[in-house]
Amino acid sequence: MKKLNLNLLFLILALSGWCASSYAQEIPQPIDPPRLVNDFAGIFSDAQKQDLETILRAYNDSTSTQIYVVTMKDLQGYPASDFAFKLGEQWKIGQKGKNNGAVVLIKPKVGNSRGDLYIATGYGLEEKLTDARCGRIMDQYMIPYFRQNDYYSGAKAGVEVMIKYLSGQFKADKKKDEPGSGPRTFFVILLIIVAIIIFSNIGKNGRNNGNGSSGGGGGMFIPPFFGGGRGRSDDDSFGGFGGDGGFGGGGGGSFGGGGAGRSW
Amino acid sequence: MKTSFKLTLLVALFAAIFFSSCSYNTMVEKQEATSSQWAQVQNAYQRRADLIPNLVATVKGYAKHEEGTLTAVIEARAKATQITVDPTKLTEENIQKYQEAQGQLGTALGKLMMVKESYPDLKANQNFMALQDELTGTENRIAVERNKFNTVVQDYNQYIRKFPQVIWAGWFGFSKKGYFEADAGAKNAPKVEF
Repeated sequence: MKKLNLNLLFLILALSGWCASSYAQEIPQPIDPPRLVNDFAGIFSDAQKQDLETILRAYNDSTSTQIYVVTMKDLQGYPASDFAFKLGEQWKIGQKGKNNGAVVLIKPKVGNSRGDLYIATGYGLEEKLTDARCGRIMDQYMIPYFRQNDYYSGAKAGVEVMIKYLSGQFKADKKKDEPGSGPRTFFVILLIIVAIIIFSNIGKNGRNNGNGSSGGGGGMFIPPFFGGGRGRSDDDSFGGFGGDGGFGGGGGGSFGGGGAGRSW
Repeated sequence: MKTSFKLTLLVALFAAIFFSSCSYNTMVEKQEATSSQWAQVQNAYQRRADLIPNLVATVKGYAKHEEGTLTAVIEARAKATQITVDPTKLTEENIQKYQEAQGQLGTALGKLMMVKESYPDLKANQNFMALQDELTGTENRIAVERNKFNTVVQDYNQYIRKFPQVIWAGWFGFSKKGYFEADAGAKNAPKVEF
């Protein structure tokens, strides 16, 4: 019972510390574990998803530039532009300081509704991926495929051209400079401090009155902490904790309204 | 007795200075945030102003009978670029004035973009299509930066009007800043159809 409470307490602490920002209802949460292809509309097959993910992941790993492909069945009444900016801002796509993130938002054409496509660029990408260029990429490489319901080929062609335009602008930082390392270092230091406090308490209790149960109480305090620590670094489920080979989600990028959109 | 009273006074004084200097620094930070966000807003508007000569030149080549619309845009642009607001004087009136001038330019531009419907050649022109994307993107940027500005100003305004900062915010010249309001010009922002 006590253990459960402490676990709960830790969970609350962790949530309040790292996921403090509450998201608006309408914008979906990124899928977990984080991926660059978020196919909420289900227009890609598994193999296609994997293929796109590989391209985007490789580009993310070498340049830290994050291009997200997000598909939505329904934009909840938002214009595609607003939806893309909000999503980019809330998911913190791109790296902090570089703002090198992009969102390729696809709302497939279903029945009589229009299809919407929007490429939103973070501040850092606006220079090379200008609005006009985004428009041309969509006109020439994406929309022709989309009109034939071939979303995969269109998305792939579009993403590849975007990468070509952006080539050479950004380089991935060295591991130690990655945004994840800050919180992680902090976390490790916190762990050490907590461990010291706990162990010194156990030692004191042991010396002073030899009471085993209070030492046991201290012991019970440790597992949730260490368990939490391990979980965090293994499953990469928290944004900004990347750097161990897995993809860590958005890195703190910001969007200022750059990009262009098309409907078909 | 006397010394302990003096000591209390001294501690109180130190506490007052300590707390006020703490919130003073925060006030400075928050004020700086509004200034830098204001610069972003002006950048976005400037971007639009910079696009206009190019746009006007392109449209002129195709739409010969639209002198009036074109002149209106050029005039509105001239007026709008004259008005700038010093980031230290972001009062409500100043922002309103700025917004009005920019709103007129937005309306004039909206009319210009409607013109294209009568000129199929213009609509198909590659250069015009590119400019159209840039213009739409610029309107989006303006909207986004204005939103961010309002958020930052709200944070600042709230802070300086809260207790205890409200007591000394005025002494150091921290005054309430104005917001952008949705205006007629913003509502009539060029709606570009594809």
